Amino acid sequence: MTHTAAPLPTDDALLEELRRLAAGADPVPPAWWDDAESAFGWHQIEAEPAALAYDALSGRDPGLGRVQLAGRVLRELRWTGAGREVVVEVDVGDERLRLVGAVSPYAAVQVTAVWPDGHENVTTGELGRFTFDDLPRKPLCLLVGGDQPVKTGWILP
Amino acid sequence: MADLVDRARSGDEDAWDGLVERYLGTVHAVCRAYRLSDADAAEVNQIVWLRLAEHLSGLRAPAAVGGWIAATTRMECLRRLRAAHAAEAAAVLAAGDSDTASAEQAAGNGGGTGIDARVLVYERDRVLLGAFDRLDPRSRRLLWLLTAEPRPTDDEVAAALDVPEADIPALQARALDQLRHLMAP
Repeated sequence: MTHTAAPLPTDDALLEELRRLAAGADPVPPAWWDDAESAFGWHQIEAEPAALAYDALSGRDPGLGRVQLAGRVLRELRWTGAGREVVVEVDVGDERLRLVGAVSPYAAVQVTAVWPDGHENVTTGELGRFTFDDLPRKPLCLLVGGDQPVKTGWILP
Repeated sequence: MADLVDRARSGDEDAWDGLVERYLGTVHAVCRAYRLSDADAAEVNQIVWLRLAEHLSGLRAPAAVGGWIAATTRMECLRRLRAAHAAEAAAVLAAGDSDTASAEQAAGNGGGTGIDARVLVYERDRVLLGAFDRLDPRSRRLLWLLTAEPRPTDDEVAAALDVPEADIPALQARALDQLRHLMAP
């Protein structure tokens, strides 16, 4: 009696078939290349990276410093670098976010909020305070100007 | 890879593009392995590369950048699943050695591979994808990763799945055996 069923594929052949199907039907979207390549922009900002000193989301008590009110989340973060401290409170809404912060020691400097496809500038006011009232809800970092510019890491809302 | 990391650290954009060329497929495969929506997967991709740029100078083992990327992608996928679908994340996190297929389905993940029906030109493909859909979730995630181009190394696959690197060959053999069994008439 003969067996007519096709032989089952080897490991390599099976993987190759899956690879062919995945490559043809589910390729990496072209926009992903742009996002990945443009991410290098943060590294190219000429400023000292500030070290994250506090993030309410990673504290021992996740309830401290992070308050959720009717769909909004308040989150505190603090960075230090180049002899400066940058403190911010992020108020995250559904689509937009508000960011209130302060730079110390006090100096009148430009603060730039940078996100992957845009940026916005403000200047510190009394006691080094600054406010961004209406930013897109996107990953963003802050560039604090002055004699020794510093940049924060990414805030992921 | 350590050379690309070193050059990117010193501002070489071509080196950064080289890292993207090598690892974008891995990021994509991990996102698909965890069945993120297109929108969530795109956001995870963006976050992974932003994070890499931020941490480039601080990477302790530049040669292991692939593992860092795979692990960061996995964590971002899980973070996204937790935020958007707490119940689904619980099922994914619970997916281990046990009967996880039912758990994933119970969490509403469905059974589709995301592969468009238009490509089902050959009966062979239909049989293969039908079997792929019936794999247990961990085997399916592993095989998704192994289809990435370029293929991730075992340590990168281990980082993406949070399993010991030494287990990868056996898990691969088991997944392919299971796939062959499910393909058999």
